Amino acid sequence: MFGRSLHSFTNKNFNPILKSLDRALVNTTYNSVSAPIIKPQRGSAPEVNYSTQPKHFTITEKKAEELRVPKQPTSPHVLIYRFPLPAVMSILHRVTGVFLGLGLFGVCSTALFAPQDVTVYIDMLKTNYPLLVYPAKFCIAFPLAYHTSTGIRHLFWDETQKGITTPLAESTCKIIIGIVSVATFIFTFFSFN
Amino acid sequence: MISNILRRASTIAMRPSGLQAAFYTTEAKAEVPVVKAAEKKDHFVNFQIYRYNEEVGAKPYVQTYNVNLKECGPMILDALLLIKNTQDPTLSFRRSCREGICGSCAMNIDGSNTLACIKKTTEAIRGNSIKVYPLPHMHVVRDLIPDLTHFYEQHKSIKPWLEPAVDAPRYNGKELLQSKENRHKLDGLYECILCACCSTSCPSYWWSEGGDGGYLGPAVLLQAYRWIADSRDSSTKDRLAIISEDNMKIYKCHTIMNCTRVCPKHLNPALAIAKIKSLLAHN
Repeated sequence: MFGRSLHSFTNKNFNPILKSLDRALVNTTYNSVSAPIIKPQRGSAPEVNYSTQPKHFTITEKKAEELRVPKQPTSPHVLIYRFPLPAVMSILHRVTGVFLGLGLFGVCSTALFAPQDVTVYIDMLKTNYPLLVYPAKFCIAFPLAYHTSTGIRHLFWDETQKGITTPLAESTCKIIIGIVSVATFIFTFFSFN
Repeated sequence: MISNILRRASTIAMRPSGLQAAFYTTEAKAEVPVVKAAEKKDHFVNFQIYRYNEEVGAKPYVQTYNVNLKECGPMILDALLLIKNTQDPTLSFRRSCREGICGSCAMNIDGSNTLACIKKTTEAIRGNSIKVYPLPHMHVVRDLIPDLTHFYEQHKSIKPWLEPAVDAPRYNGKELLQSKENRHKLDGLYECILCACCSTSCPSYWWSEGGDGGYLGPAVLLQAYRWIADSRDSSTKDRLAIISEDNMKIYKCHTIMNCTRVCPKHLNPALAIAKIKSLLAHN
């Protein structure tokens, strides 16, 4: 109530003064802005000022050392983020892909440049280190099964745009984990030759 | 007199009877003690909050505040405001609407991006402490305030405005008309509040947002699709050209789906990006 009366009081008494002040300010700014634009130049047509033209401005030079560069550290990211299952499986897809690529590179270069055939080396591993056979088979079977199944899901996503929701991604992740574990088990402990 | 009769009739009609009455009374009995038990308990929780102030000159650090949840409101933002009011006035964060519509208070709470104003405190407790960080992999201006300049620049680059055809049919020479079906295509797209929760949850965005041709991020691509999908817009081809002029702008998306999970408005940026990809592939 008091505030309101005070407001009306100030309105009554000071408004004309404020208004005239305001007008004076507006006038001065208007003149200062428009003065350099209206100024005609000798020998050329006078510049026309439309509102779409950019404002006239002045450039002040500063040395790079004088500029204040704000120190803004990057906020923490991988270490503090709690990754959900689909994100973990996504990065595992990339990792297994790199792993498979390296394996293919190794096998191919062995076939090309090594003195013996690839199968000879495999037989050597089997005879010399029989304990390493199952781990070695696992290291091939798991990335192959995993990368293939997640890759098929990726192709399905890109081709149909279906299943791209959080619950469906979760459930397909679990299905893939099931398929991959079964396939890895089969390829590791059974041989098909 | 008529009004009197009506009032009486309405009170009789409102009175629960028979099976309904039984239902009402049991419900009321079940509710009351639960509420009382929740109100009485003291519940102290440690808030571990990321602090940084350029003027102080110290490196970023994590400060712990002990808060009694009994004394503060249900949301994380209430707790932050309580800390600011009673414990440490230097704690700084953005906030405005306190109801999840402005997107100012986006931050990383309990390892996941959300709006502090709609995240319940009780849901974020892990081992009697709540971790609050600014949005991941952004430049920190101070405490929980990230620098979103680049994010807004990217949003600007996709031309987030309607560009109707010159001869588009108009109502009264002004309003652009749209059928109901075409309007429904924009549902789930126009609600985006640009809080940057999704973009900063995306590992691809963390490591390739820099520079002019960087990955645009889920939020900006969702907005790009919002204008591509609009039936009143005539420059779909130009919009697709803007996005596809650099491979990094969209194809850095690997469908990790962090964006869809964290969106506080429950939108689906991953789906929007997939749709843009298919549009680019089939055009």
